[in-house]
Amino acid sequence: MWNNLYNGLINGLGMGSIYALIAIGYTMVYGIARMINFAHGEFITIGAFVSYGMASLIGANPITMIICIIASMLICAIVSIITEKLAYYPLRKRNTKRITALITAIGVSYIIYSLFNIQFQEIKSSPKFLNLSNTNLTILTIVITLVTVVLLTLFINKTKFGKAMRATSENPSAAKLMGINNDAMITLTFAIGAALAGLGAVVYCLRIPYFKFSVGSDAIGLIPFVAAVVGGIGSLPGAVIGGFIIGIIQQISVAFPETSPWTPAILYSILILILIIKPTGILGKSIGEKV
Amino acid sequence: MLKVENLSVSYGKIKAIDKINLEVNSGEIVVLIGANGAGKTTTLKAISGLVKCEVDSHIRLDLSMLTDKRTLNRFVGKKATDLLLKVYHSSEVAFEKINSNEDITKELFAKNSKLNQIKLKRIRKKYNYFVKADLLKVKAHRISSYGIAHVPEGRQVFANLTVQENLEMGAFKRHSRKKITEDLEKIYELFPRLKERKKQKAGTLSGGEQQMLAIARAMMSKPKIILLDEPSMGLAPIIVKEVFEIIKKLNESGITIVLVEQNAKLALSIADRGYVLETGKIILSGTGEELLNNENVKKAYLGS
Repeated sequence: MWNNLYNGLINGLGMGSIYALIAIGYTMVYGIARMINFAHGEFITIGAFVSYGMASLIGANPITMIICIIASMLICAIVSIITEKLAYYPLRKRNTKRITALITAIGVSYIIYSLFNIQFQEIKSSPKFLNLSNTNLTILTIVITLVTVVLLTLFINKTKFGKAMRATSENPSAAKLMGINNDAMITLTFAIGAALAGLGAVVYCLRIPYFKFSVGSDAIGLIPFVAAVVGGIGSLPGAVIGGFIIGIIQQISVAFPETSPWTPAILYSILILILIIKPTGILGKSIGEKV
Repeated sequence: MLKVENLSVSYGKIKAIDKINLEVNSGEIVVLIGANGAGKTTTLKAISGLVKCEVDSHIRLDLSMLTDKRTLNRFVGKKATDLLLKVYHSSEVAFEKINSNEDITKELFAKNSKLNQIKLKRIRKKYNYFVKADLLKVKAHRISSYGIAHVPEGRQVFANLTVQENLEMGAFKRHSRKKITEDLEKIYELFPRLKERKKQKAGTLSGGEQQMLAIARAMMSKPKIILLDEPSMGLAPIIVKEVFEIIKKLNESGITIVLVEQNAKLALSIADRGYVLETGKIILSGTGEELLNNENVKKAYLGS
């Protein structure tokens, strides 16, 4: 019993920090573009395959892991910029309703999913960058997540572009009057979100022996999105807290044979419960408070 | 300096402004008055590119009277500015030379080659493009680079950013950290209450302080023209007075002001010229004094 609980907690912290990294992407894009980017999960697939491809070229050891992380983040960011420019930017330019962008995002998600489905049928084994015990791996994952979150917070709060991002997210038309290019800020946000998903993908692959084309849409799926909503979508610390909460609950539930099959039901029940108690999520603020 | 010609804006099928013409000269305070929905705010929004205008509308900006270093920097960029200032020592001479048609390739680049001629041509082209711009062809986020700042209706400060961050956003398009810090100090001198609250979130300020912040934020971009939209809205009379003092001070420092105001009496009393809008059309224009003494204006807007 205690053993199960301990394992669940360790795995939960590990998975939670991965969910947190990915949830940041959902929450940042929502904060600035007011849309839910349902294609965000696919960047995990892209990141996983990029790191697999790089690792098979240059080998798998701790040093090449850093190269693979950088490559994965970079390519995810580039793909995200391309999809943003091709799919979402034309919609925004024409001032379409939010539901249109949402459906488009689902469409983009299926397109990327299908491309990987056609190209990579077989199961790939994850590159073995490190040889760590489960506990050490969890510690490493948490450190990576915390360092990333601290750097990101510093960027958003201290740099000119970070402040401009916050200004755009709060009042796009006033930001325009300051000379801030809203579209550039939105593109930057998409790129940062996707890069974090790329990082999350490489870290996730350390925990799993195999992966396939559906790693982003089925294995991880919408759980980071749930985490972002639980934490309060639009809030960066909320996404991190939500990621850890959801990760720990999920893994503890998986650790016990009695509750394991019920895990998804438990997760979504908690989502509904939290939203009933606090509709904006744990750290979310209601939008529309204007002076 | 600013010339609005034939400007029309529609929201869907409703015409908000219909073929209006107005002119703002350098150094003036120009006031637009009119009832709610007359199209005053829309006019300002059209100038700063926030609303789409219909074809045949023109907003011409003429900056040829400006000869300072900032303006030079704004249109040819830092590299060319440094070069021009090195050769001609003052920005006035540099502007004169660019504006003239003489061949200054040799003076400027020390060598009269084909490449340098092209470079000079590019500088002149940029100058003409910048100095005689049609603002409707400029994207909204670039308008501030033309020396126009807009203090929008309802202030619209960034509530979740601190006072200082709001001011920094006003200087978003400027690059010299040193000069921005200097200007921040000047702003804090002018608005001591903002200095007291510089670490506070802008959303926690009172209405009057937010209005001051919105004006200060606009000043941070070092504009030549400030568009002010209803700066007295929702403020106590004593604070309104303070705001108008600041507007006068800004104008005395050489900034041209376009003011939209419900409080017609107060606005016309500081105005050089004014326009009266009614359902999207200009029905009357004149100097501030003329309008204050006009019988129709008295009846409709001054309440006497």
